[in-house]
Amino acid sequence: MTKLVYFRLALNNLWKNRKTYLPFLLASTLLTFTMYSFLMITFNPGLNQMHGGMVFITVLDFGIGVVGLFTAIFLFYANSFLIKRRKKEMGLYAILGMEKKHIGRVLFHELSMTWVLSMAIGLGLGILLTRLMFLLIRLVIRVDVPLVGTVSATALWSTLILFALLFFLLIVYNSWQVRSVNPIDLLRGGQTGEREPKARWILAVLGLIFMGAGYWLAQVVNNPMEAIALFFVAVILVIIGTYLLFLTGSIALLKLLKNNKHFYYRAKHFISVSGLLYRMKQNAAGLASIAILCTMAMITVGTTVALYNGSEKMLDSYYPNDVQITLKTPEDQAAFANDNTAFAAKAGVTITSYKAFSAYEATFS
Amino acid sequence: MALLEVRNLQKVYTTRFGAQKVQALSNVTFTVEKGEFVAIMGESGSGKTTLLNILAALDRPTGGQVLLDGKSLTDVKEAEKAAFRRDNLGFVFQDFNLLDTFSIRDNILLPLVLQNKPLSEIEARLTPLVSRLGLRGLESKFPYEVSGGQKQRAAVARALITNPRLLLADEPTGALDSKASAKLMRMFEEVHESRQTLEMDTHSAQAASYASRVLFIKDGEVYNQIYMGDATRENFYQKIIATLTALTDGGVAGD
Repeated sequence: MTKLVYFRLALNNLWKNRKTYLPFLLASTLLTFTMYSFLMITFNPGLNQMHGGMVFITVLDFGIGVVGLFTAIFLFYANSFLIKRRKKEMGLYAILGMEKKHIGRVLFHELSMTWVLSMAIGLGLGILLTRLMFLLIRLVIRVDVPLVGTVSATALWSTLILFALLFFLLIVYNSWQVRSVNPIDLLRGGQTGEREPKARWILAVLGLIFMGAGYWLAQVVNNPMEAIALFFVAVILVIIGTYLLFLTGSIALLKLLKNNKHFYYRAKHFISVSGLLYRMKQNAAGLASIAILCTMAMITVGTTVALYNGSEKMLDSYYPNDVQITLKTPEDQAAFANDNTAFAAKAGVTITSYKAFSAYEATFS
Repeated sequence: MALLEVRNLQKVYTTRFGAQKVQALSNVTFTVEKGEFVAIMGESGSGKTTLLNILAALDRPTGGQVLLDGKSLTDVKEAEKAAFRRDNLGFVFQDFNLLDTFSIRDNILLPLVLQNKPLSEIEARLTPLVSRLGLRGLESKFPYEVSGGQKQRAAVARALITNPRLLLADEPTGALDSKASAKLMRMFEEVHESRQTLEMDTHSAQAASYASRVLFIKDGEVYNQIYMGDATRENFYQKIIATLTALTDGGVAGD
């Protein structure tokens, strides 16, 4: 009976805060859907029979890692944003006589419900759109991929467990946040005020260096093999650089503007610079994440379009001849050289040009 | 026996690295009988908010004792404090602290829901309280739809619905205009007449003149206290003003 109260309170909270919780639910649903789709394709038994299937699986595995990482970062960011907004509410609950473990219980119910809902909708969508995903893959790689089945139990379980783990971490984080709520702060209201952020010059310069190094690496590469190795180094450098620049560089720049008295004491600059100084402290991480996501999306779209349009060219350079036959022993080679016209006739073509290479000659000459 | 007994209360705040010590309360002793309406007055920084926080079991004293019905607040374990507040105390704040996402009715009922009372009792307690505090017809409205005075009355209803032994109010008229303040104080007077014990922090002599006793706090000590007794409210108000003047003048002379 007592437990039911917290459950009802949690349900009520979700409903009353629906304007802020709906985006969170939507995001976690979409992330569930994306994760399931990736897993479902990776675990598909048909891939092993496909030419180049192993490479495809390796790339997908890497993709799952990236999606997982972003899911974790995004869920944590959104959750901490929501919990910060509700500190006052939690303080009030504590004063009105709700023990901290009970507040924790309400938050636990809220997150559990969000988990159940996003699993149900996200996985439902994933199952419904399985065929669409298969169709898209066929369209993009232009090979008849032997994808089979409609529902993948392994993918379902993996998604459920992965998200359960992530939500468990969110619950741990929230309980820790609840413990730090001090009811007296609520009594004092907003009197405490916020301290002006400090400019951290070393980190700002470091951010600039990381960012520069990342882009420089990306520019100087001219050989595709090197590019694969350096690509990730450059990406990580740019990500670190972006976060540092937004978190410390923005504040350093604003401080610089503030110290320039001829600039600062102007009607327009006065309000915007001092206001931004406080706002940037709270929003820098969010803005940096948005910047990184935008860059990622642009890179993904860019490389995908380039790869897709360049696929004919790549085919030509890998396979310059119409037909290529690999024979392993010299006896086979001799037999085929005698018979090739008959072989071609059987296939309904005539030979216009014929070249034979020996692997040994090619390697040792 | 007194409902509330405060004995030699001390509170010293230490800054994080122990560099500075601030004596918020040096030696406060007083008692509150059941059914009294006590106002606590003092300048900013006199320690009255600290005192209220300690009475509310939100803060721990560094010395002395607070007894509510003979039970020491310092003996209440940290984990039981929330339950203790819920079952014994009612709170009214300067800036109302209603939850914006709850209707007036739900805001008032929140403590009872947290106490897990049956629905029939919840409703039985709500109806008389709502009409007593002049909130009828506003139950389904949301806090942003009603005036400041109405919000504060809803907050008083929320504090009273648990039948607390002690109602604590921190500057309840601080965010209200004079008309809404007078109305709220008349409500407090009525609540007081129903044998409810009240304790209120205030800056306003006008608000304090509705109390049955006024305690003056200065530099962390009880400087003086005056009773309303048989005086009229106007008379009592004049006495409060006179004491306040002496309080500030005395400070100058004493230094």
